[in-house]
Amino acid sequence: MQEDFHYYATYCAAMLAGYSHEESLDICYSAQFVDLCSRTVLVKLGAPAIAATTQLQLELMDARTDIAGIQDITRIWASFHFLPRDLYANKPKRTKRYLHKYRLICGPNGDLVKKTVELAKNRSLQSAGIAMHVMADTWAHMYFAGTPSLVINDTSGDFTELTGETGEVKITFRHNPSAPDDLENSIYTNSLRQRDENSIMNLGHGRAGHLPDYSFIRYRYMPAWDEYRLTVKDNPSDYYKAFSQMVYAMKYLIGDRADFEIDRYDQDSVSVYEDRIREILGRRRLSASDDWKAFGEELSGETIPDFDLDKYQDEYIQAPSERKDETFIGRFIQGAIAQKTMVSEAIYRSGNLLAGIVQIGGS
Amino acid sequence: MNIHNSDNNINLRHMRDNLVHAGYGYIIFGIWSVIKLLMMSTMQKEYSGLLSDSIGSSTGDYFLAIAITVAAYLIIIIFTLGMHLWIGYGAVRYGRGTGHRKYYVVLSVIGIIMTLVLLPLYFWNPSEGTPIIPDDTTIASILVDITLVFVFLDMIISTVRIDRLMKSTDPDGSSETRD
Amino acid sequence: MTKLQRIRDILLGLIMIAIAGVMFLFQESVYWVIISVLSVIFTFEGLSTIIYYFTMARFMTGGRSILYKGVILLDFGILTGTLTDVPRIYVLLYLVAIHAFSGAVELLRAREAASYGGSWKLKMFHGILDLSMALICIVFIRRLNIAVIIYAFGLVYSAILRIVSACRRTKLVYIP
Repeated sequence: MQEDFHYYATYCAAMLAGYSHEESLDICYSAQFVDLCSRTVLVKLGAPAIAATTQLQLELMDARTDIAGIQDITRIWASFHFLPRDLYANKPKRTKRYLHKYRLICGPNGDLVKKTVELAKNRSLQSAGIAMHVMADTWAHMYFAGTPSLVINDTSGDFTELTGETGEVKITFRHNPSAPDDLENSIYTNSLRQRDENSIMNLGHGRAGHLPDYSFIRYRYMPAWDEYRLTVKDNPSDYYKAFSQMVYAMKYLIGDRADFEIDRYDQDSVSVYEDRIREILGRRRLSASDDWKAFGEELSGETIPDFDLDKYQDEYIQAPSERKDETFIGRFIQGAIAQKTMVSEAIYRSGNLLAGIVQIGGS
Repeated sequence: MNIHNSDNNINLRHMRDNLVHAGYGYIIFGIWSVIKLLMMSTMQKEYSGLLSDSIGSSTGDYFLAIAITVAAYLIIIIFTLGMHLWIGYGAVRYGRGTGHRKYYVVLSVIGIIMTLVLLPLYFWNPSEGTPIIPDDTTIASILVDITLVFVFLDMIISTVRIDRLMKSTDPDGSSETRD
Repeated sequence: MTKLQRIRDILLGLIMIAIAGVMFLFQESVYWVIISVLSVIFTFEGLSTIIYYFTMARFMTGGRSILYKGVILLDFGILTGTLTDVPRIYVLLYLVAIHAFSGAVELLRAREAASYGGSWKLKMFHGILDLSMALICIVFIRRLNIAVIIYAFGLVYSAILRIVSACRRTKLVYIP
């Protein structure tokens, strides 16, 4: 997902869940910051690099793909952008090596989603924002894994956009990251096919380009892992569920609900605005930020500032060491480390070393 | 019901993909065998030595022998590449549904028989009647030949299954459906 | 970088310097070493590709091509080891091609890094150095021992970079 959903839609969801305008801004800022909190930013702030929640293009270009490098990449991407659905999934006649990658396939409503949301309970708003980002991405990025893997993340070259009731348009891919996607002619950018298992090009949904991040698109394609089955990705429907689930989760976090269960969605608050939300999700454009922003400002009656990466940096830099944890970014860092530790440990406990060896004291 | 993911359609996709890959695989093996021939002829002393010994010593004979040798090489290369491309592309076209001729199946059967018949020659010298202890080069060549047999089998089996699946798919695409 | 990665990189750097030393000393007789190393690399690459096919790629759509690649690489690797009459110029041209390709890739990466606002000067320097070495090898292609010296020099340069990078301090945070 991109800024339109992680920042503006999360704000709207937080407002519907009952958070105030200021609280919603903290949550949505944190949700969007997950996509920008790289080692480069953290080093600039003098913050612990272990709290990185993403890797920039430059960092990925220089990332090592030996075992330690793969573990580092997996810890970040599986924890924050491709939360595994079922760490104990089985497929017959598969080797252990294959299963370790297969089990990292992302999807909504897995056990780790519940743990992610519960981890944010009684913690900071920043932790809530991180949880919302992770949960939303399980809907957008499903069927891809947060580890470099040709056998999982590769796709056939044939992508078809499903339009209307029965229409189909063949999608053309090109490898030009600097050119924007051409929605009118169905021309999109994706990553180059690399036949190396651990190539960075085989991380996440690179082979599908930005298609998973566009809320309006429905498309059909064949993932490498699904034994020649065609997968239909219905983003308008998935994004609506993601939004409803965020509201449901935040009602739990705010204390309106006693518990959080997976595969449950808020009906009360969201259904009132269903038509409006579906209209926003279904509109065909590169970014829905304006629409979500307008909706959010109607909900709160307040102005939603544009996302500013530098907003809280001075506060963190200028704070004395013993007070850094109390700053906005300090709280975000704590939440990020907790999330990364929880997911990495879960992966390790499942017998999978792709996220490294993780041990938490006393557990 | 998801027509695209009926058992028939999944298997059809699988077989077509197998056939296309087998076709391209066969072409690549053809290109490799040509490269290998050239490498061995020019960079292995035992073969390049044979070539230069077989060429006559006088100038007239020398140039004629060179010309004949080059011509022979060209014929072998063109024939090898041509066969591989013809068979390979036949399979690729059928796998994609753009071709309807299955001549490559017959040639694949011949290919399997020839490969299996000639395989024992890696281990037995018929003219001297003595066994040959295969070295690492021979083992690699055996592996290539076995893989080629595998490619041929893939072409045959995939073609047969495609034909069966095409016949058994109902007009509305209904058959046992998987989730 | 983990401790193990650092140790491995330092060791690799030292091995590269040792190989370069051998090349400086023995120059023209070193070609058979290069061919042997190439043979081992391709053979290993072929075997690991075949193993990768049977453990992983046979479960993916279109994975057969990986098996074919592995078999051909293995055959090529073993064949390379048996080549006894390789004109030295072929070996040199192969080395030149590797350096030229590597240099071009580094320059493209430098350009991409610059477009993202990242540091690009070191990448560009590496790229230019690789291309220059390739060019110098071509200029001196008839003086084969000079080409070997130039290649050995390139090996030492790569080794030093690797050791320096391994010795760089990185921030560590311990989670209590």
